[in-house]
Amino acid sequence: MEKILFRHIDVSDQYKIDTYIRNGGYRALPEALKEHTPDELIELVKKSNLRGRGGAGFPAGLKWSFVPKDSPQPRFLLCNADEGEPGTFKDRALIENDPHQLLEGIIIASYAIGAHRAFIYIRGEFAFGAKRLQEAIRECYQKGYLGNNILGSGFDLDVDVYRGGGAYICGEETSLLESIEGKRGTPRLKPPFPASVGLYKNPTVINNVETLSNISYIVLNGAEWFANIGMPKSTGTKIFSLSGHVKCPGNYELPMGVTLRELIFEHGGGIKDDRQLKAVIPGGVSTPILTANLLDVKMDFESLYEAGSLLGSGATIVMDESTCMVKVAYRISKFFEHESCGKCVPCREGTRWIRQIMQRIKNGKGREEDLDLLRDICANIAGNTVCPLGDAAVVPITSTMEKFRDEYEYHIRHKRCMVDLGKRFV
Amino acid sequence: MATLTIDGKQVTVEEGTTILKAAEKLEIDIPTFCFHDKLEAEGSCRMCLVEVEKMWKLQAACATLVSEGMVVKTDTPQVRAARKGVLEFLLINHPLDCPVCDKGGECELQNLLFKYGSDKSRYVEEKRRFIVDPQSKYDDLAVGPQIIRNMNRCILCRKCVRFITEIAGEADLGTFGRGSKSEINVLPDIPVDNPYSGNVVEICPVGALTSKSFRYKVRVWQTKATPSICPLCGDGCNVKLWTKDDKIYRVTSRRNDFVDEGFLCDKGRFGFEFVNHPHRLKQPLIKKNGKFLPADWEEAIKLVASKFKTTREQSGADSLAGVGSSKLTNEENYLFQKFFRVVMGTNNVDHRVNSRHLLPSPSLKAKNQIYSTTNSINEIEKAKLIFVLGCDLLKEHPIINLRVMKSAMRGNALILANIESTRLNRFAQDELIYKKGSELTLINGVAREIIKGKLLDADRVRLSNSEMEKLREKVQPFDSQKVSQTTEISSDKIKNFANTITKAETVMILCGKEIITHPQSTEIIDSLYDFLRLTGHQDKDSCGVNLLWEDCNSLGTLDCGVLPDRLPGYIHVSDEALRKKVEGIWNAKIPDKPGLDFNLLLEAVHQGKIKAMYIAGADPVSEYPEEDYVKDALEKLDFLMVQSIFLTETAKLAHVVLPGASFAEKDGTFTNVERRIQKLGKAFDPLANSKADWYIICMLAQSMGYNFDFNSPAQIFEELVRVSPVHTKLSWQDLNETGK
Ligand SMILES: Cc1cc2nc3c(=O)[nH]c(=O)nc-3n(C[C@H](O)[C@H](O)[C@H](O)COP(=O)(O)O)c2cc1C
Ligand code: SF4
Ligand code: SF4
Repeated sequence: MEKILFRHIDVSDQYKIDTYIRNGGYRALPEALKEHTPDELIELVKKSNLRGRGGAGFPAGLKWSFVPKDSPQPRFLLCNADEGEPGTFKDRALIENDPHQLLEGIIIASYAIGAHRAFIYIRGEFAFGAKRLQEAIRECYQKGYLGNNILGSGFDLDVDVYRGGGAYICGEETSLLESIEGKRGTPRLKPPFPASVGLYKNPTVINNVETLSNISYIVLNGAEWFANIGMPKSTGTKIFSLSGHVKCPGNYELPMGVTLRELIFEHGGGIKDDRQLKAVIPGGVSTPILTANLLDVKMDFESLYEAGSLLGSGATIVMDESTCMVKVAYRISKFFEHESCGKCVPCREGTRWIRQIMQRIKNGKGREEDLDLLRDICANIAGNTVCPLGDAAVVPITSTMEKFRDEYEYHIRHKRCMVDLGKRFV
Repeated sequence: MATLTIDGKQVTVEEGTTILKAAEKLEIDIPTFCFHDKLEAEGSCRMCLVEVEKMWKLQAACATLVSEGMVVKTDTPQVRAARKGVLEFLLINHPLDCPVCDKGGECELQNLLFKYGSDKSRYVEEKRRFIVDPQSKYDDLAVGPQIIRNMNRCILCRKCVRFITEIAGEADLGTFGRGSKSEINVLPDIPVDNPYSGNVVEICPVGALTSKSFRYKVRVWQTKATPSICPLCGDGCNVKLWTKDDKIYRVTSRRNDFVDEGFLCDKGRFGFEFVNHPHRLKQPLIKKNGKFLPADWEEAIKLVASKFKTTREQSGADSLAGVGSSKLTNEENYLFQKFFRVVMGTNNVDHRVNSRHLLPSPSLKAKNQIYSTTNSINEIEKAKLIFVLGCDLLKEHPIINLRVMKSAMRGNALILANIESTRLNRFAQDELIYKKGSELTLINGVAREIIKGKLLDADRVRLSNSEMEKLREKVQPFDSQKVSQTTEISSDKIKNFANTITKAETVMILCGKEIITHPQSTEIIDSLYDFLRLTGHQDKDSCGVNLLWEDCNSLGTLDCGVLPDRLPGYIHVSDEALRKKVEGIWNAKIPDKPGLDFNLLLEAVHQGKIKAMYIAGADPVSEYPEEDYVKDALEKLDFLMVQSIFLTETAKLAHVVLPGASFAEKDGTFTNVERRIQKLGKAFDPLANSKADWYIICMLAQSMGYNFDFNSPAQIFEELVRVSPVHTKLSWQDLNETGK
């Protein structure tokens, strides 16, 4: 299958505007500005059924259509480049190698929703990516792709890069708004949704880097073309960040609906050292773990949901037989304790408590009643928090407890790990 | 309107109401921690989660708006489990130090645990501690001069931080760190030291923030809370006095949404120490050979009565004079002026001791209205433009300042004109710094600018042609160059201001002390009225000229007629018909010639015309701008009696000093800046051998042969209502709760 977003990933100077143009870039922009009304573009993206690649899979066109048409307030487009989900590293690749592909998407999306100001909120650690983007933006102004009266269309747009404050939670869209406003990155209550009350209380659309990078191709090739790639409800390609115990970890752009088996064995080269596959986290640490028997699951929003997990951001973390699931759960619980923003009680207190219990179990100090307690704590967090981070934090615990309960029990009863018997006593 | 069902009961509420408020209407109790109805909903404590039909997860009642046909359940197994979960989460790291926690007895965590919590703990891990000093087992941290933080107890509802940022408009308290390490703290070397800081102690639902002055002194349940009014400025915030054994331990807010919205300034909250000050006068003093000797009441009253009597017999009634105080109650001031008019037989009575000039006096234009504010406090936030003139609002009227800040934060315009920049400046669209004394020039200059610049919308002008002509003539000399020179404000700024004020939809003017005590106060206020009529901002809601009187009972003292020319309710002494009516009620004759105001009184003393004086509650030696001049005068008197709670500079000059009672020791009423009459509450009896001031006046009258037969301030108030046109239709009973 032909790649879309990664077509020029190996062109060493694709990040330069001239190379991007030479390779067919900035052809969608004039077409969008001159041959389409904003409403037509929204309709087009709706028809393509492009769904958000940031994790939740919300249809992009639908989101754009929520921006009030008659409001006198300014609107904003925000590109979410915070990429904080452990295991995810696709947005970084897109930004560093093909920044104009993203910018072209941003300009078209801004035009579609009537925004004259767009921000790229980039993860603070991505210093190189931020520089690349800034340089690319400078080039755009030079060529007249940004600024006033873009390509003589009468449409004005300014784009700024905003470097994040270094918190996973700032990738959550409403925290991201707070962060850009210069406040502590903590989520806002929803509703109201950002499309009506967003940045500085103005209508705002927030989309992921990968989502926006797709836009120019939909404009060029049509909604139908895009909708025909992948699965009926999960259209287009997806970049899977493959990591863990595989021979060739990396980013793979494949059509939605590719099987996990194909991803790991054909593209990832199989399990490292040819050991047995044990489990896979298919969409970033906040998605439920899959056991090895589910290798034939299709990697798209619907199929993974049916299999009891989620596509999330497409970060596929592969674990072989040498992996201790208690240790995995403990490590992830540490991540969530660290990244809980602290705003709401169940997540702030619960993530710490979970980590404390996991730490004890991992260290051989678990008690029989801890398993029930953990289940209770998770139930008291799930669904009761302000933002989805709380829900996400319990997923690794509940799903490993459900699927690898024997390992937990072994840890508690034998005060040591079941997996690497004899090697590592705790 | 939307009709919804909560726990099977229907209720109809306005659109935009939250589930929490709708439930309140049905008296369905939904527990909360982070909710505060004056703060933006945070929805973070998750205590108020309820089930809403068709929603896949529980919703925060404090932040979820109702909709037509919504079905809410507040007491299902799922809701109960969530609440129990939240309480457990809050408790796992909470220290069990209730026995030594100041919040004990009024802690919201304690109360809700009692109601919904579990009786056993499942937490076996080590509790989180926010260690301040590794050497100490206590984790107390002083985050401000008044405030101690114990982060271990904090439930991170952020009400303190939200209050500081959203209401007080400051940024000196914040949330630091993330997740379970989040803490409420200050930046190094920047303590919480704003004039509203004490509110965070009251707002904090637990013992995480406590006040230095109250800590460890007493347990809450041993104290008694008496509703009263703060005596420290004219705003009239409602308070509770927490006392035990004749001592005030703390003052907290007693929310009155007409006035204070549940907040106090630190002056009011922490400034009660004077009540139990060791220097309080405890018994009558009589000066013998230049030294004060303690005396009993009978002896002292007899002496005073005989002195006043002989002076009146020898030199006539007009050789006597009285000075009341804007810090005494309405009942006391009413009685005081009645005492002078009936018992002494003179109109020589005043209380305006803090100005060399006559304070603004009723003009024809605004009649009696001029002494009052024309708008209510609640109207402030509705005005599209607030113009503050000659007032350091934060210092003079902290709680009105909060309303003005709120208005500005909500996007209404604020323009300040002062002799120097004030803290409110950061919320103002513009601040005009004028040269002291040039107020009248400024206002007339702006009026001229409006007329000349043809900024007027003819339909809006509220002046007749002839009035307009007169105004045109009056402001003619104030050309912009001259105005700019006199006021030292650039003519551009003045033009801008003229433009803004003419275009504004509604304009409210607030004048402070600088204007009230100004030599041209009457002219300034008249000009401001002209100004509003010129721009069409009169007789509309949220428009008007407001004099913000300084003291807790400034307006009340005026209203009660402690004035040489006016009886209670501003009846002029020469107004025969009305005077006769009062004489009928008093059963006595009232002199029909105005007496001397305080400045004239001083002159008359210097000229030897005034021989004896009775000063109740006032301290002119400290308050009058020229200390020596007053001192000389008072020393010249044959006889001076001072009634006071301390041996003030004025009292030191007296021949007899009678110990009055503080606001905490008596009943009575104060009238605040918006002319709201509010009740004090007697928390305990007058200290030692002191007596309530109204009672002292009664004793004195009795001793001089007049029957002032009052048993309580309530009785005095009922007579005031009969006498004063300003107070008609009021009754003592009506004043409960929020005042009237
Ligand atoms: C805790 C949390 C972290 C998130 N981090 C990211 C992120 O790093 N990048 C991202 O694009 N979306 C992230 N999201 C999802 C965003 O909230 C939002 O749904 C997304 O940016 C919308 O863009 P899309 O519709 O194009 O996917 C996160 C969500 C949560 C709850
Ligand atoms: S200190 Fe008190 S008011 Fe402030 S967040 Fe903590 S519990 Fe809430
Ligand atoms: S504003 Fe005035 S009345 Fe209110 S608390 Fe402060 S001093 Fe007292």
